[in-house]
Amino acid sequence: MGLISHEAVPGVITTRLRRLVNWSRKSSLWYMLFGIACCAIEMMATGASRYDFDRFGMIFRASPRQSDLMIVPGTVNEKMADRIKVLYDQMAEPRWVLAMGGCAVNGGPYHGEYNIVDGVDKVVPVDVYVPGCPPRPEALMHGVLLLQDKIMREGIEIPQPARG
Amino acid sequence: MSEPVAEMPESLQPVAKAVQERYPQANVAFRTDGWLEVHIPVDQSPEFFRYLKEHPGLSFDYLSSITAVDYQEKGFQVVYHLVSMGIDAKGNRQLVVKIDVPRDNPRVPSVVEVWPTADFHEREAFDLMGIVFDGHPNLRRILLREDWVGHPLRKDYVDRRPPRPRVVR
Repeated sequence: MGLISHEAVPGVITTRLRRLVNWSRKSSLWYMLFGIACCAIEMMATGASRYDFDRFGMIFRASPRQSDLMIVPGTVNEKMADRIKVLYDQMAEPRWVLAMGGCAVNGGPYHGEYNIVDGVDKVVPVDVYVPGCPPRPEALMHGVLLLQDKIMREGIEIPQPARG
Repeated sequence: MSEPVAEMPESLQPVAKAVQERYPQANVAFRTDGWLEVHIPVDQSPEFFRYLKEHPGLSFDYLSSITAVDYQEKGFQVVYHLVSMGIDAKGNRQLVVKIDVPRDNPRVPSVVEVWPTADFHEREAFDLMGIVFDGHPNLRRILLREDWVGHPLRKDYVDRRPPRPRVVR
């Protein structure tokens, strides 16, 4: 962990400030109350008591100005793309985007159709892609854990953990 | 899908009779799926629809949907689905009205004056198929964005949107 326990002074640890900042950021990923298609139902299920996003320190925020994470759960169409960009621009840094479901990853079953933007990464930069149609709550939680890993590595050289 | 119906049910017979008597040029046929189908020329609308709605024996007071079909060289067909739920309606009363319009000038009269719910239905058919509804109070695109070029449900529609590059932080 890079933490040193001082035996002489119990209760004191040393670490890097950057690491402390990253740890606090990843531990309270407030995500935006924002759903555009059926994946949003799965996202709500993940936020509810059975799968319980709260234990990751994640709670819904109804305003982009209070959110750190935008989960894009659903099909992005041409009309919605502008709105997603506006919402993303309203979020304060640091901010992250998670593309949830095949539609948000690359258009999914609607790839190449009229009025469909083939993936939300054509509109805003995406940090984590979670495929599935829709992804199960476990898959979404796995995506969040990957994002937490990514946040912990921000600004620090940490060997990439091996993930199977 | 319900079972095929061989004969016209009793509830529809007065409808077929009334329509055929009043509009001899209308082509009335019963379909085995239980719907009565009427083809009318475009110049009969919207008087025909007003008659269907306001005639006391018919009272087709509910417009279920307006859609359009692209038959390519044969032109477009505008399809109206009507249901009679009036007090004097007895039994199953469903009616399909079809109007053929030429491809180079797809115009039909609006029925917003008859059924106000036609407003959004006609805007959708205009948006996706390019049917122009004369007399519509607010014929704008309803699903696609305002600056969209073309009508995507037409068979000859070509998507000319420029490719969007991937956005990287």
